[in-house]
Amino acid sequence: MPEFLVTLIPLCPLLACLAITVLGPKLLKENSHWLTILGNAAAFVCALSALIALTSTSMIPQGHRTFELYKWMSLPASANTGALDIAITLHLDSMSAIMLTMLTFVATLVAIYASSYMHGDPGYPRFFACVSLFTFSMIMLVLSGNFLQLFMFWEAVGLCSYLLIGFWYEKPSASAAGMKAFLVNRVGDFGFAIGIFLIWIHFGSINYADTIFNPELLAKVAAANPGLLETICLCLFAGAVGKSAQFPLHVWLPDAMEGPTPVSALIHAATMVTAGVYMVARCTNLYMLAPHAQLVVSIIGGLTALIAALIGLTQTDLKRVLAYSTVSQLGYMFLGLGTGTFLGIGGAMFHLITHAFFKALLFLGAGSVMHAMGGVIDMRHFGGLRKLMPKTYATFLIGSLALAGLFPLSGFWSKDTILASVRMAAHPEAHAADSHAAATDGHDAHGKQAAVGHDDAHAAVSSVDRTNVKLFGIRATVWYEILFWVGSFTAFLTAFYTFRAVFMTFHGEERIPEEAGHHAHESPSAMTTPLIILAIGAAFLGLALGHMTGIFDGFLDKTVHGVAAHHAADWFVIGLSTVAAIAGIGLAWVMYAERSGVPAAIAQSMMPLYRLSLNKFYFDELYYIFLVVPVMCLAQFSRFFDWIGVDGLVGFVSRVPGAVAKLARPIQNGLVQFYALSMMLATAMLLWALLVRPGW
Amino acid sequence: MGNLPLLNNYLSVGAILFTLGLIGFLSRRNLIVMFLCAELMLQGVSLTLVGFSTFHGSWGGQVFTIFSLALAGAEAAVALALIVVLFRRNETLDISLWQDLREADQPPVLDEFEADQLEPETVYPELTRSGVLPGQGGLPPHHNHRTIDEAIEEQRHEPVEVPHA
Amino acid sequence: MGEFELTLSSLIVVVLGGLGVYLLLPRGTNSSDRAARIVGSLLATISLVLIASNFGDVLPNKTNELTFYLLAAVSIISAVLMIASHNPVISALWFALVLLSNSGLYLLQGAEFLSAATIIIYAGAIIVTFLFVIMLAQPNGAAPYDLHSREPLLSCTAGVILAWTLLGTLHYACTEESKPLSQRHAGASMAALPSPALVAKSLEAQPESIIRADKGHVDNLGRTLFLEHYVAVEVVGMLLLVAVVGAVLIVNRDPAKLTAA
Repeated sequence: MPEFLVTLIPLCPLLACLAITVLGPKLLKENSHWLTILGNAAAFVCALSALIALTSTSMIPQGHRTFELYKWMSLPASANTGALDIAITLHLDSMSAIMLTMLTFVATLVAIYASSYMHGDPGYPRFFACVSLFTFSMIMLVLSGNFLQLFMFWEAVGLCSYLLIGFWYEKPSASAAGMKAFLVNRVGDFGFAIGIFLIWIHFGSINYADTIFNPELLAKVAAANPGLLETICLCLFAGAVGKSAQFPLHVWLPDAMEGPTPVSALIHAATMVTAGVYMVARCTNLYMLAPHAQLVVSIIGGLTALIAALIGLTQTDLKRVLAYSTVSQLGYMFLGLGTGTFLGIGGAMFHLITHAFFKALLFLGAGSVMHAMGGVIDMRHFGGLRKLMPKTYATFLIGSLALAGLFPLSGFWSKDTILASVRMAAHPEAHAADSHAAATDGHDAHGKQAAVGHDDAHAAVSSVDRTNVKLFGIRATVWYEILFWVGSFTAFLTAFYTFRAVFMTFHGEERIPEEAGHHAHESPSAMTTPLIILAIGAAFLGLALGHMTGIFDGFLDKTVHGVAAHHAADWFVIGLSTVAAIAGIGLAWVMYAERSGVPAAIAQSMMPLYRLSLNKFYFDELYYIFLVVPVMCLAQFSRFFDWIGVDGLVGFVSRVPGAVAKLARPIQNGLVQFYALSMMLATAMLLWALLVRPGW
Repeated sequence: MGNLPLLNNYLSVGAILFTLGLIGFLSRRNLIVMFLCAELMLQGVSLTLVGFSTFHGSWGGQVFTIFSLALAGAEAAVALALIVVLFRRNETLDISLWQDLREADQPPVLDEFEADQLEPETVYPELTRSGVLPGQGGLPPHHNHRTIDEAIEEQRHEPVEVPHA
Repeated sequence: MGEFELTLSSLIVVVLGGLGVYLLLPRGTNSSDRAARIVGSLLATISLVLIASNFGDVLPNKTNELTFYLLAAVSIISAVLMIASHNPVISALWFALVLLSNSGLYLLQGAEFLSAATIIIYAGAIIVTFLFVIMLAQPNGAAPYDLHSREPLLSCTAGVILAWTLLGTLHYACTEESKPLSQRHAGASMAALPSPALVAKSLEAQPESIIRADKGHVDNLGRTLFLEHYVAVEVVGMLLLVAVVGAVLIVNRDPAKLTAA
């Protein structure tokens, strides 16, 4: 595996970004997309070859490799801190390779799609420069080998997100949404930064190799500082909550739909928002030693999944439905990550990949609809588009089925794994033998490849006693039992709101808004081709890589040892989720396939609940009252203080020389003779001084 | 050579000249007279230098005086040129009119007599200047500080601007 | 040896002179201050005589001493009249007289070249230029502002302070350690019996002596000027050139433009 190949992965989008920035406005103009597409495609090819290289044990025998690009900073150790050695590194292992391949693949397709979707926009080169910059930043984030680099590019993708949400900055709502995304993320990043500081203080290093990849040290530190790892995990999770739009910081993601639809598909569905999931999965070794934090992760994930799904029920904006669906699915991922089982972690990562495919597909489909409808995205204004846009309809349907989790589409496999892992966590005694087998299995299969601390890691993981973990006085198993049912109910809701959107958009009598004009036709092939490719992925990815074949888990096991352990299929979960999905789709069919009074009647009968859902549980309003208003009061106070206190003081100080000068100003009266008089008196004084003190 | 009382005498005369020049510079208001007073101060200094030169038997003092002569010449050239320019702008040599380089909020120093210009300027009989067309008559007395070119220019335009004249 | 110490009596002498000058300065109308002028002249003369009475009896021959007193008196009286006269033309002429008597004083000191140069350059060139400008700007004699001095009392007070200080300083400088200045600063002096060692040292520092006893005054002055101070001569020459160019440039500005500005 040559180093330059890995270096090329981030380099290609970076070069594309720089070239478009320099050449775009004057030279490339409407051809800017070629550079982005080429850069992303080249990065994809490199990422894919890296992935393949990782599968073969001969090319990268350790299963992971770190390429150091250059030393960023190197500070010597002081009395109470360790040395700070930070290099810009590319850390390639199976987890990052999976992410990279998915990321570059989706990014390439989205760039192709956007070349048609954004056609004629005045900011065309700017858009593609930003997309390339985002791709670069995300690649660097995924490939980072230390927490500082991770944090840096974590912020960089946030910046790209801000730039692209506010892409149409003339639109007040768009710039406000960009600002909101940026500010809400700051809250989470605050915790994230503190987590990194804690790691540095207690581990003396922020490189992965010295912290999360060193289970021996982790166990030692955990033994020395009880509760420390829980704190670090919660702090890091705060960052993930912000970036991945989890409750209570989920409010920015739906507003982020103000950006162009390809951006929503790429950044706010497939890649950037999953950075939080990726980060938590990266720190698996850390979280495995912090069962309370894991429980919090799960609860937040489950709660977010439920709340977002409930809000999604009543939204009429197609993109917002999908946005809440994204929030909900990200919640699923955290639900799986928090179970503390390798099944859950593998499931979450797999769900991340499948979700990227079908959610990008759905967003791009929604974009296709929006494009045809002349920018209208409110589902009440159009309907029955299936004959008008057959390709979009077919692919959107596949994506929806995948999202709903219907066998054998990809969503089914990943979601079921997560639900199964939650059930496993709820009934640890039933699976105890199973997981023990898994541990031994993983040990046997990969013993040669495992890192030095592998055995200790397992020892440490198994040494954590999960049976006595409690939160709010409720045992963890009880929490997981609740979360399992919440997850299952959310699966039903997901199917329902997804197909509500499908039926409202594509079924019923054909209605086209006036704004559509002559646009009301199937989108061009540059837009439908990515849809079809993504649809194929959404359809068969689960079948090809999921539990049937075990390819994904087997590959991920190179990084998270233990994922590949064989688990008996949980037929209860499979049955339940399939029933839930079919029930949801059926209910949506009954209510929305034909325009009927049923939804209105139900809404009427449950008015308060309907209102609550429609207004997104009043989160924005609550935040406004409890956060924005106090901050504005504080700002007013600060302004007043600045005005009276600081300004007054500064003004006073500035007036002192003026006052002193006022005494001396009459001397400057412009009369030459007066100046001559001063000179003469000064001379006389000098002479007098000489007379009084002749020694001078 | 080396006669200290003699040196003292010369220095005393130089000091008195210098002081008188200073008094004149401080109290007179005519630009040119002020300038003459400055030259008087220079003379006092020159006398002092020559006195020292004689006393020490050194040529330095005389050389200094020669340089001060040259400097006085240069100074006179530039200063008189400036005086001419200033005079062209205000038609007066009064130093009181040139107080512009004072602090912005300071009132100008006014002399008591300016409030009541008691003394009318002595009016002399005015002859027709050369360079003026004969039929147009002499210039009014208050024009006598203008240059000939200006006067001709003004006269040429007068019938147009002031029809009754 | 000067007797003019910084005492109350010497201050009174100087104050008398200052009062005289104050009375002589133009202070308003022409007619009313004739008496003041006479009193001022008297006071100034008394002061001058009192100051002169402190002068030492020093000159080797009486003719020279008499000439010195005469020239000094003419010089000082002309200077007083110069600052006191209403008409700038008259002032310039009084100044010319100051210059003439000064060149006499130079001659008395053995500075023949300077004496000639002062007459030629100052009286001949500079004063004439002044007169030209006065005639150009103010041909009618005294202007109103010539009849009024600015703060004559204040000016004279300042002058009294300065004169008293200067004269007193001279006294102390000459009597300090009751030794001649030349002996205290032997290294800097070429007079008053320098020690042979000092002469040798001076010759060593200046191996090729510029001053030659067999040559005349102007010859030696020229040697000093062009051998010791040749750079300064060049600089002064450049300065004169610049001054001439500057003067031409300043005067040739368009007055209309200046007024507009």
